[in-house]
Amino acid sequence: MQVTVEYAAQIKRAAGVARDVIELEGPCQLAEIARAVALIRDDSFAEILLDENRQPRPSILVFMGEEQVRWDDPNLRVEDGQTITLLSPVSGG
Amino acid sequence: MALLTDHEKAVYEWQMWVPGFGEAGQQALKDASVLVSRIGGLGSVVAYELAAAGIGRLVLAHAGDIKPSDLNRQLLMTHDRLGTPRVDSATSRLKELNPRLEILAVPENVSDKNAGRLVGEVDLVVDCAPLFPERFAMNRQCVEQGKPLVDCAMYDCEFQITTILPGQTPCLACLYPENPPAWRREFPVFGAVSGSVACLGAMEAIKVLSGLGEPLSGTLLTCDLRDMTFQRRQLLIRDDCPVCGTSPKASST
Repeated sequence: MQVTVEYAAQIKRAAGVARDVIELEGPCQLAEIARAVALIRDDSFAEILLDENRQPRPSILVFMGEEQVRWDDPNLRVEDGQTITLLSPVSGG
Repeated sequence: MALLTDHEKAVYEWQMWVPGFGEAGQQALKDASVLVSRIGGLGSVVAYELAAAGIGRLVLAHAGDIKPSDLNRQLLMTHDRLGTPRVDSATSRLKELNPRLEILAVPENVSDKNAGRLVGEVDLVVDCAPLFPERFAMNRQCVEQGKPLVDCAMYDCEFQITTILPGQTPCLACLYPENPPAWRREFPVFGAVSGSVACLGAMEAIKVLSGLGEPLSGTLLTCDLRDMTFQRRQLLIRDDCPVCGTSPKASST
């Protein structure tokens, strides 16, 4: 299946692109999407997105369409053609 | 409660024409107090817009002296005041605009030690801090004291803003259950970016305090000014949030 992954804020800078379109077996869980995009980007990207156990960091917000979803939602599956957005936390100053 | 004077009615005439705001909205602003933390690129403009709008009292919290690198975005700081306290410059500029404004200038950044006292001083908080521990300290106190929190943030040409209404919306700890490990205090930004989200933050404060319109409660507005993409996204309450959650695992500390 094909999934579009969009990036915002620091994780977009680390990716060097605004979005990736990836191919993978599906439907799948969100964490598999995170690990799949980490594989095609460099270490700084992976460090922002994944913890030392290769699990998505809970402070990275993830959205399907306009709705926030939970990385650990056991009932959620990403399907062919869907777009998810990863948003890294930003602050002010 | 001091009623609006004739002079104030003349100053705020144009905004009192806004439907749904009127004299009652202006009186609500005069009676209100807001904590702005800090008064850098974001907070300078939030404070300036609130002073212009006729807020009654501002509590400004920001440690340190003005540095050259402040001057691309911290619009209450001036070149001739380099090396002097930021809160002094901010107080002077705000008083030039609105001499009726009451200001409590606190030359400290918000922390777990002073957050309870500072949040207790006001009706609403606008979070303009660059570090997450400061943001989390304000969030905890806002939830505990039931005070609205407008959370503004930016990075590069992007910004985010949401309004937290304790008991009704996700709190900051619902969104970010841990201190984001990748975030650093210094980051790329234009003053026009921080100023853009700051104006929205000031407008959210005005709306919440006066009852005008619909605030961004439970909604995250994101914008990328590189291509002018604006998006509204719905946020989730975290049932096991350690700050505002209702599950048995959660606590209020």
